[in-house]
Amino acid sequence: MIRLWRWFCLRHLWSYKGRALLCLLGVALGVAVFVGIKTAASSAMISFRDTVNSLTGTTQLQVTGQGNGFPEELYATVASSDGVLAATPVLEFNVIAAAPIDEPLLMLGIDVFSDQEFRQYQFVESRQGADGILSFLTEPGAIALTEKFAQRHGLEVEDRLEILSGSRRLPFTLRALLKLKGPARALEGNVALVDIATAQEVFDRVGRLDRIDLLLEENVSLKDVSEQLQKLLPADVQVETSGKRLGRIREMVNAYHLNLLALSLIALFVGIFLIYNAVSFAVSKRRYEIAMLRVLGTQRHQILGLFLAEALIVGLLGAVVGVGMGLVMAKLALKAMAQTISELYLLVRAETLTLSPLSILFGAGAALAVALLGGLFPSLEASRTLPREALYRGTLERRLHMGLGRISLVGAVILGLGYFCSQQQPVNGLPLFGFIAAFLILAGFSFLTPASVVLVNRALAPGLASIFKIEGKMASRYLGRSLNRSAVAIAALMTALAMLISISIMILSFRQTVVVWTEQIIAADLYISPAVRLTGQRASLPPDLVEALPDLPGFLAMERLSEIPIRIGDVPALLDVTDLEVKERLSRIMYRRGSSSEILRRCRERGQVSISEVLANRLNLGEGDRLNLPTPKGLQSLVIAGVFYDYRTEGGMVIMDRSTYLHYWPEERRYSSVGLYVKPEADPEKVRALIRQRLKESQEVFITSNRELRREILRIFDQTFSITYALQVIAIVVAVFGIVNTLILLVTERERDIGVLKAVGATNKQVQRMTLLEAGLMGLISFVLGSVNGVILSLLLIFVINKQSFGWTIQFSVPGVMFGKTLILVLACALIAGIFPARAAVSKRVSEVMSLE
Amino acid sequence: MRLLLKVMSSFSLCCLLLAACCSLGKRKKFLLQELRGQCKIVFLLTILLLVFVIIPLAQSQEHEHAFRRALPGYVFRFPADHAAHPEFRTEWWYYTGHLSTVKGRNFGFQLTFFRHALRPASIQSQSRWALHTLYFAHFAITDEKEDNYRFQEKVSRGALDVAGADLSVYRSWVDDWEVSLQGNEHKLKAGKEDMGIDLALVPIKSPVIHGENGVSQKAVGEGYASHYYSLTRMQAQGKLYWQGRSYEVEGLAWMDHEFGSNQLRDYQVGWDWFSVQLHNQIELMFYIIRHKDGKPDPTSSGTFVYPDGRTEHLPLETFGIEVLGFWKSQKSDITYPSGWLIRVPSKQLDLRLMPTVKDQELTTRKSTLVNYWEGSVRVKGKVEGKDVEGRGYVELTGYDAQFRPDI
Repeated sequence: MIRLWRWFCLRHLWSYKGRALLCLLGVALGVAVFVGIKTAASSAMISFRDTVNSLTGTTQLQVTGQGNGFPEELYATVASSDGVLAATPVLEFNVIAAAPIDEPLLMLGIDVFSDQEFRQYQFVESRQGADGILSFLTEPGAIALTEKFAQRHGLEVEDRLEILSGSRRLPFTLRALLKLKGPARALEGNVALVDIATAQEVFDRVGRLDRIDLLLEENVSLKDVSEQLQKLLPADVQVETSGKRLGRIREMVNAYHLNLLALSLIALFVGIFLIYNAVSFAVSKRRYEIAMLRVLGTQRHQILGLFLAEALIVGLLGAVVGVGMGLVMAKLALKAMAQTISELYLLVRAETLTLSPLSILFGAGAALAVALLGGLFPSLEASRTLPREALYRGTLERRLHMGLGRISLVGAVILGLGYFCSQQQPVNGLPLFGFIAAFLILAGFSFLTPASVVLVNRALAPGLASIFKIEGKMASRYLGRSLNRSAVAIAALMTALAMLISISIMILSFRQTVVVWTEQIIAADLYISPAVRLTGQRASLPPDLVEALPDLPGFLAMERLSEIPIRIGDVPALLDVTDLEVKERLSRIMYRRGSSSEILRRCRERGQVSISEVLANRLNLGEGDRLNLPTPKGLQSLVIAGVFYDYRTEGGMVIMDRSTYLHYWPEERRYSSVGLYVKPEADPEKVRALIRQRLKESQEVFITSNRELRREILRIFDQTFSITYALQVIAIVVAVFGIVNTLILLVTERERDIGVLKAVGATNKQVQRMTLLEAGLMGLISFVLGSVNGVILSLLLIFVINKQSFGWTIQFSVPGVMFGKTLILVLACALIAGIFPARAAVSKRVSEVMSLE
Repeated sequence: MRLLLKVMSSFSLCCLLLAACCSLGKRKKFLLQELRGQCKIVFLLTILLLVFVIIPLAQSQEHEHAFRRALPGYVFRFPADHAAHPEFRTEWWYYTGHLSTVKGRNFGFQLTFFRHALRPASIQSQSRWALHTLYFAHFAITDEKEDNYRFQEKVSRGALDVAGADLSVYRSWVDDWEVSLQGNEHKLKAGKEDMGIDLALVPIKSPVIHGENGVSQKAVGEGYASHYYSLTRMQAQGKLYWQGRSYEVEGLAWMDHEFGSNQLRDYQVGWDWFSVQLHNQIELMFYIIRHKDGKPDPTSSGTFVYPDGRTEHLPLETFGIEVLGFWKSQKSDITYPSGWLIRVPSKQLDLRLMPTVKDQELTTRKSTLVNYWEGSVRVKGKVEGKDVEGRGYVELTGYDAQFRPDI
């Protein structure tokens, strides 16, 4: 059997290397995406967990503040509270070591004395000996870095380095080195330590703390102590277990990689078609050989085994190649994921890829399953071949395995299920059912393909016949009769097109929405922002610079934005404090309902707030409801004046007037950015130059003009989605190869018919034209089906999946031009795909084909 | 496929709008740079070892002028001198005592507060966390019946008044361990249910000022000294918490208060200190500062306190101390003397001091990172021909190699 298999399958695969390779790539792509994403996600998670764990040390409870932290006096309260064994204050900053180092650092401001109960920092003895450690503790501007980091950048104790934080360039002196142990392992060694006093002074946070870590006495309950502490603390300060932060990150990573996994499943789905196609091809190509084998006594199940084995070997190779590609992909994806998490949660560096055998096995298993599934039907067909039947080559009209009606019914049921899934609520905030619905819609349309082919074909037949005469008529008939082959190719192309079209519609709709949105909300002439903005970093502008702006010639007004990360219940959000009077007068916010100036006035005059639709969805609140906002003066219940569209963050946003803010919070002179309006007669460029002149050496800010900012936003948008296009092109190429395959298959099966045609006087040209027409027809039908399917999918993407995972409202718009372009692309591809089979069709001599009769 | 969407949208749109100009720069590929030939000896030292043991050495020169030296002619005033003297670099308040329960169960205790300035506090800093002074506290209980001993320690930079020592009224504290003067009562509080004390100590005799002319010399040379006095007999009463139970206790305590700005000379390695309270109302204090070669420093001395409170300075040549045995610590591998014979020929004094519990060693890992032995002893012998009994405390420092403590 093995020998037979070697002879029968391997030889075939070898002689059709290109085709086998294509299938292999199709499967590999799916596996690669799956393994890549899965590995990256688990590596990222392991790296984050290590970072969080090493930073957490023995901490049991953490007291955390929002935004600007909390007053340090709370430390004494918390530390002397019942049940608390030890407490240590922490200030945390994400900074960048300035060029030439140019790397992010997690900077911790700690009190080494109380911290030793929690974490083991170990210092390296240097030539400066104890002096270094002492000056690290007592001298301003002293910093300790890990040995790893220092060596990598050639830094030695006593060397100076600059740290960028927000809009400031801060000088530090390296006073001590840390062993890469304990908390210094976080971020793979990109950790900087400063004394807490230094941290407060240098970062302008005197009197504030970000966090207090707590160790509890034995025999006390975590819950009791945490509740009792919470009562002692202001509403905007929270007590939580140290594991909670890790939990939040895990949720985020899960949400993130689920989306990516859905993609890999679709790639595998296309793989099923490819394998179906390839095995069908193999079966039809060797029908004569199969018949001979049968005649020689080979059993049915052996034939079945032969073809399944052939599919499996493709699946297996695909799995191997796919896992390899996946690991390469993981390396890239890891970077992207670390960056996302750095931006959203905490600064992380993930460099080490941790292999996850489970996901590799799963990916490989999926490849084999796909191969089996795709190979099963054609293999069954092969095994059912009667010896007699096969010897009469090509006479038989292959019937579909099921009747057209039954197949369509299955399709309709699947579509119905898809619709049902699309109406379901998200699971844990993830659009799980949305993804299932997308898959079902693709599958449903695939099942509807044969019937659609018949219908479209019937509709087009008269036209074709009148334009292309006999060739048109015959092309259309052939297509209609070879449904079991052509429908599969058409379904594959249709799937690829549906994905292309749906994603294009979604991206273009999204882009259009963002364009409208930026036009509305970006109204200031100049935007000034800190040069460095990292997660959780209250990057701010020099207050003196901001407060001196009104003296500038040409100054009209400014909106000072203070952006403060807060948590409303368990939902993280940004509190945007700004000068609403200026916004009301000179700019606007895009509200879901109601007029901008009217709502802004209510916010300003009555101390109400506006919230983003994302937050509104997440909290299930609307206009007129009350938002419970934790403030230093307790939980405040503020009326929601309006709900606005915002596409800046995945999290929610609350907009509040500065006057309202000052009512509940201490004075905030930390400005995240400033929107500057100049008088109509003034030149923004000149104003920009003037601001530049005012900057001190130690200050680093960006000044962006209105137009530059809009352009930048769209540039980032386009760049963001560019990979999507690349992937779509791959899908189309794969699908087009599917068409080539199918046509060759059809031509092969029809060798005798073509022979007869030629015998009765058809010219080579006519035969070629007929084949090309058939290819064009397949392309056209794929396009029609793909368009319908694509529009439906795009609705699902925009209104279900996007809505459920982000809560963004995207204005649906159908770009006509895109359809035109796609149609041209598809027809061109199909026709090019038809050329080779058309040649093949006429290459055989009539006598040769007929002689077998 | 939607996937990409989310990916991309999340990490780009996120800080997109106003942060559009964010520059993270390009990450450089980093090459591990070879250490330039020099072989660095890497010690795994935690920070505190350096802070307490090495830093004072390194630092002393720098801020030398900033602190007052202990010079002859100092006039003590009480109760003002109980309180802190931040003009001196180092200061400590040492309480030791012997307590008994109603049922006669005997306990010893030690509670010490240290203040050590790393630099003058006058350097202006905005942050209240700015480090200039460290506060330590050591606390130990000896359980004679169970032959048991435990100690605890604390350290703090004193930010937000979590630890400190007041200037005007006597009060020293680290977290919830505290000693304060209320009327003529010294209130001591330390520890929790498993090991704690809550005591009131009333001095029976007036303060005893050690040394001559207001200074207790620690080495030859001006300023190598401290100002040092003791309350040699204090009536103690209060509660002792031990292994989850609380006991009403009574007994005798001793307080030492010492402040100065210099540490040991480089030829000195440590000291042996003895306090003795005899039932006949006599108290004695001796200290021997040991040189590297094992010889006692000529400035080592003692004080004899008569029942009526009169005192007599005892220079080195007037007394002799003989070691009777040794004890080796399992924790630190250090061998300490254990058991002494003290003779003062002029007083016909002949006393044997034996530890109540052999292991009364403090291996401080968090605060001072030094190992020392401080324990209660039983005293038996003769004074002027009469049999006497009593209690005492002994402190032995500098028996581990690198120890170089203050004063």
